[in-house]
Amino acid sequence: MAGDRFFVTVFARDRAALRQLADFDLDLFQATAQAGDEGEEPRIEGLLSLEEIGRLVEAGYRVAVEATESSRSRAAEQVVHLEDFLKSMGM
Amino acid sequence: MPPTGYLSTAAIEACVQFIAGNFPAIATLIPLREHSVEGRAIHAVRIANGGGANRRGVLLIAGVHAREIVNPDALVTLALKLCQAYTDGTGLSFGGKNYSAEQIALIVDALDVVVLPLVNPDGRTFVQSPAGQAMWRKNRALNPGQPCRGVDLNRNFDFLWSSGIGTSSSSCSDVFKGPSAFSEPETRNVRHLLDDYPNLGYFIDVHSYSELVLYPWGDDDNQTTDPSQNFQNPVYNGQRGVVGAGYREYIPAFDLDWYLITGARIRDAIADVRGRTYTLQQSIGLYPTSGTSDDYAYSRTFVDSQKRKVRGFTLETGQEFQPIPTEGQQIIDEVGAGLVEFLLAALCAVEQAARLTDQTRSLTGLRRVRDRASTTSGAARRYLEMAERHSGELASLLATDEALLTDVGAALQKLSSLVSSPDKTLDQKLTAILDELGTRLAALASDALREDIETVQRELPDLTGRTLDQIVGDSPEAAKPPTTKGRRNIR
Repeated sequence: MAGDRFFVTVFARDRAALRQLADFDLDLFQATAQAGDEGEEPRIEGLLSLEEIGRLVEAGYRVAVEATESSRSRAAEQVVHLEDFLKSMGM
Repeated sequence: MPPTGYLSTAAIEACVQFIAGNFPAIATLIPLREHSVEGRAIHAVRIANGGGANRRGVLLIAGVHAREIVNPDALVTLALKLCQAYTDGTGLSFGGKNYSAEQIALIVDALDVVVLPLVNPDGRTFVQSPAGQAMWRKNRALNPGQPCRGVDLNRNFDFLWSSGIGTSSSSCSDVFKGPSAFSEPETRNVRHLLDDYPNLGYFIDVHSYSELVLYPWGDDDNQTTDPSQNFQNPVYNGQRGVVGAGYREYIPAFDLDWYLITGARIRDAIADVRGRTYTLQQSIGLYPTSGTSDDYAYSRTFVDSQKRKVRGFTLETGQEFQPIPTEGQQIIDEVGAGLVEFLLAALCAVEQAARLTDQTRSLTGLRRVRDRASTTSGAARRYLEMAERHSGELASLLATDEALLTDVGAALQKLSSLVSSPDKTLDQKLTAILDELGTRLAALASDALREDIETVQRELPDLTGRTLDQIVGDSPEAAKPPTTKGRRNIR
């Protein structure tokens, strides 16, 4: 499951196209949206499946794949319990 | 040695209880009214030395979105460090940013700091479970009759919830707003805290990621000139959040100034930790939203004027949801510095002086004057903005100079007599007292504060002979800049 999705950057031709991405109802990280300086494409980061990437490419967006989902999933690695946390805080 | 991973849900809950149990003089456990969807008990902790209605309250929350793994750890770390530093009489350091023991004492002595580190424990448990999904965002609501689980808690607050701006009605969406505003126990818990602690006037919701300091509003661009264009006005339904529709959301100019001043302080404190400069910007960014926590908190006073104004920010920390733990520790330091700076900004030097000199009965009248001044464009509003800009420093100076504090208390008593006697004017004697206090403060102050104090001192002669109404009011006399003619240096 985790391997099926990818962290991506989606590039749009202009700001209007970037806003229209909201209509696709995808897992795009709104806080990462950038209008882009002069000469730069507006962009946003997200977590998409291959099928979703295909839909965006077909709709005229450029999608750069940055990483697999699993490579940035660290929540379950080395879960810290209270005793270890307090020890690390000098208590 | 810092932790080499992230706290489990159980460890966060246990840590909150540990803080309350180990620092009973200043930390109080707050059991939240509702359990999570999956039945987990949730606790906040209130950190304060003392009580009473005149204390300002600050609410700090995190863990609304499950996959944003660093922020609950950051809040329990800050709560623990704050209690430990206060108890030991020490300062706090976050990378290159340091706060003195006096500043920490001031925060705990003057404020009610309510910390809710993990709003969404079910989501975090799912994210940390080998059988779960590391990138799950929502809570774990069952959504009966619908195909997918979970509600986006940060689209479930009662701010333009029914508008659908930036949200989805599909349960499978990551921005599913839920079946109704506050349909989820986790968002209702935040509302309960704001209701149950009516002195809460400051709020930060810590999210990830993108290194942003965000201020309201999130539904449309801000404007400060047309109060009728506001989120409650049905005439504009359908126009909000639509590019080119001509609608912009009203925010009082004084509030916007406060957000810009305070947001810059938070940003700069974060930058001092290790040089990462967060961007301060309005929440809307490129995508309008509704149902978010910070807009809800701030909107409450506009919906019901009996409710205290709650000024809220959202922090977007770091550059990914689940950074490697060493990077996570740096982010925890950044959050610590940004939030301590926010706590200092929440301090009010006037309230501090009134509290410490037994002048709290003067506060009600002075608050009325403050609230009125904040809606004008007169000199008093500029003075208020100066006070907001330097709140932490002013409070620190008063806390460390007893003689100065006593004299400020006496001046407050005299000023409050102007409030109770509307025809009374600011006489030369009181002007001279204020000028003398200004000189003493300036001698101890930073360059920026000294500059502002000197500005006020230069303008004092022009205020002499005026009633409080004339000083605060929006009359041309009050609003006009002081003239050179007739100004004298009364020092």
